[in-house]
Amino acid sequence: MSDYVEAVARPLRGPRRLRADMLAELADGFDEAVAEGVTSGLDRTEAAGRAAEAFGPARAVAAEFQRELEAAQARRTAWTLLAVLPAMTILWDLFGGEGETGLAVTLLARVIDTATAAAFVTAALVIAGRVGSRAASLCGASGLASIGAALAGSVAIMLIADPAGTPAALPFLAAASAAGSAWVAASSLRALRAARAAA
Amino acid sequence: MDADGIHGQLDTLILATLKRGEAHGYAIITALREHSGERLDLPSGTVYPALRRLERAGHVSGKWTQSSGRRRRVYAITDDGLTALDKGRQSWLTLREVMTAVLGT
Repeated sequence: MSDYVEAVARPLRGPRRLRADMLAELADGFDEAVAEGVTSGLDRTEAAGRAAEAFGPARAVAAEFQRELEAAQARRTAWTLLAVLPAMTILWDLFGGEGETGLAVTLLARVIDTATAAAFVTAALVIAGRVGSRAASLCGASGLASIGAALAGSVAIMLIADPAGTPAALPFLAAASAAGSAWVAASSLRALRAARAAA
Repeated sequence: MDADGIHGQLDTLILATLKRGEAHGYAIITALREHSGERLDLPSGTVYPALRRLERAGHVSGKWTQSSGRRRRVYAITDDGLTALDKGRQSWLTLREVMTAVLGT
């Protein structure tokens, strides 16, 4: 990889495959510009310098690429939220047990549901193209807020709920929720990183 | 004309180039240079992210091809891209009329 393409690549954050794909395309064009310079009589170093000058400041090119990576990461995180959050909610509805839970537990469950619904709506708006340049940061923030609310709410529920009402499927639910939460959190963090790199 | 002079028009210029036929990034850069009579002083590296932006908007479609042992990403304009090109051309003509009217006074 040429110094120029490396300089463009360095600040880029976002989906790995897309990043590699974009850089491969840029490198191909850059190599062609260098080859053109060599054909016109320049030595390779001069040709590379001339090509870098023609391609423009690496930081400006990287900023344009980063916007695309940010948009791609926003969509990816949005799909993760749309798939995982409802699946986790459905699992708890199916296997979380029934019966009287008390007002505090009901309220905490509503808080979790509200955070989940807010993240779901944000993700749906991103996929529908209704959120502009802040899509990645909104998706990332709402995903993390949703997971944070779910974790905090679940711990609080465990502390105040009657142990007799503990669902039999709790180990399975806890494992599934941990996996889903880790997935959502990782994707949300990637979205925030891509958004920060584009800022 | 430098990059500031064509600010906001790069996508239209790329679409106009692709209307002549599919091309890879560097061929588009070369065509822009030639068709402008070497007057377009554009940081050519910005053409590549612009192509990705146009692809995301559905105005071009891109695919990797193998030619003479070299992998290249080739782009073609789509129907939506043709519509966007017409819109971009109209917008430019309107701007030109406005500039001419104001500068001519």
